[in-house]
Amino acid sequence: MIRAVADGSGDAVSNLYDRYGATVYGLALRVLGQPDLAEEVVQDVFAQVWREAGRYDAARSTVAGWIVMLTRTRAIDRFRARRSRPDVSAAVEASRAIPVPSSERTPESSTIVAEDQRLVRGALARLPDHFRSLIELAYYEGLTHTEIAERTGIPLGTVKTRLRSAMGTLRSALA
Amino acid sequence: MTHDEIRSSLPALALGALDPAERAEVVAHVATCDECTAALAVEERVVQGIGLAELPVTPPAALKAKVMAKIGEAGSPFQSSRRERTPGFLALAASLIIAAAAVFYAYSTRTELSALRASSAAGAQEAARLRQELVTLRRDWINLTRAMDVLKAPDMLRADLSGQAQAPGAIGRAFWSEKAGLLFAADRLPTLPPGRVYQLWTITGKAATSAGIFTPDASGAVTVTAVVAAGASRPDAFGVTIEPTGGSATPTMPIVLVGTSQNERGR
Repeated sequence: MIRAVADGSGDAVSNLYDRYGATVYGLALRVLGQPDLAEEVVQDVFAQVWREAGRYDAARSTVAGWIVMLTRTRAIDRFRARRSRPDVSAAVEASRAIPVPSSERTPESSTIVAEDQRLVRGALARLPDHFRSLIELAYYEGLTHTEIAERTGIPLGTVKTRLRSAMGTLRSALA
Repeated sequence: MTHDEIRSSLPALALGALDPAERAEVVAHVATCDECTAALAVEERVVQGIGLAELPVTPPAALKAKVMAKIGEAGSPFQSSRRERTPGFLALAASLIIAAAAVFYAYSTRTELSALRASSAAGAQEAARLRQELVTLRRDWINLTRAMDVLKAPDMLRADLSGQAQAPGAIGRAFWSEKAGLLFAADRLPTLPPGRVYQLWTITGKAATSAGIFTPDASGAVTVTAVVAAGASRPDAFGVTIEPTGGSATPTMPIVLVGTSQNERGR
């Protein structure tokens, strides 16, 4: 399908949107907390997929993984540009109540990806709060070790150790 | 940093949590280490898993039309890439060289492989050598692709470096883009004393940041590419020094090659 996008097929983008639109929107909303900004990210991401489909490397990641990576980068860029972050919770929680029906999932997302999804989701949920919160600051806000230490008041060395350990737990879940 | 220390930094690299200086060092090592390259791919899968673990949220119905309209405006990907960036002569020349090199590599590797198949006497050692060669070719390919990206980048800047007292005949050229990375080529560099390497620096104001270490070939020529840390400021100049194996945190004077940046694109 990515090949079809790279070959310039608009239908292929339409199919990709049907598959991953909700994933991209959900993640962008989680990072940005505002539906209008999340919608802009969705547009940017699919435009980027359209332009750069030729650069997708199947050896490096699944299509879903690649799209999620583009989404995170775009969303964090916007988040940084905006700096302030009003009212994350209400809009997100309200809209999150409507998950995508599983029948809309693709072969890819219903097998490997869904498996990764389930495993990581479970492992994240089992992480102690003081580990998970650091992963979230790094992943959703794009903060570095030093920035996390400044934000939380946790010593830099502890931030590094906890992040490494939390990533190790997630990795073992996938292994 | 030792290999083990770098190895333990890979989860943070994949997460994007390394501070810029550390990141540059880790990235430079990974580019030369197959074990770390493979380990990083695993960490990247974990990071992608975090994003995928986020529950999907059905977007407003009108959004799809906006997405499709945006793509419609852009035309086909190939037209749009032509419109957005016009690769200069250099990029065009580089792409021809890369294409020719790729064809040559593919051809010569295939010839060797069929020769190998024909000779049942060829042992596991030869197979291992060819496997290693494929790893090297893949790395070369990644470097060439990155070099192309740098040369095409709209934010590219260029610096012509000239040899100082220690290396009067040496010349170098650096191409830098925050998004696409760094490409550096030099020629006629003096042979290094044992236990020493060359180290490339980006200089912003009075601060020098390492862009990696390298050893030229016997003729003193070298081409390297490197990733640029996100948010890195545009360098005012580039310099090369001689450092102990493994590189240094700050440049050891005297500087061997130096040159100031100029905006290639004029944008």
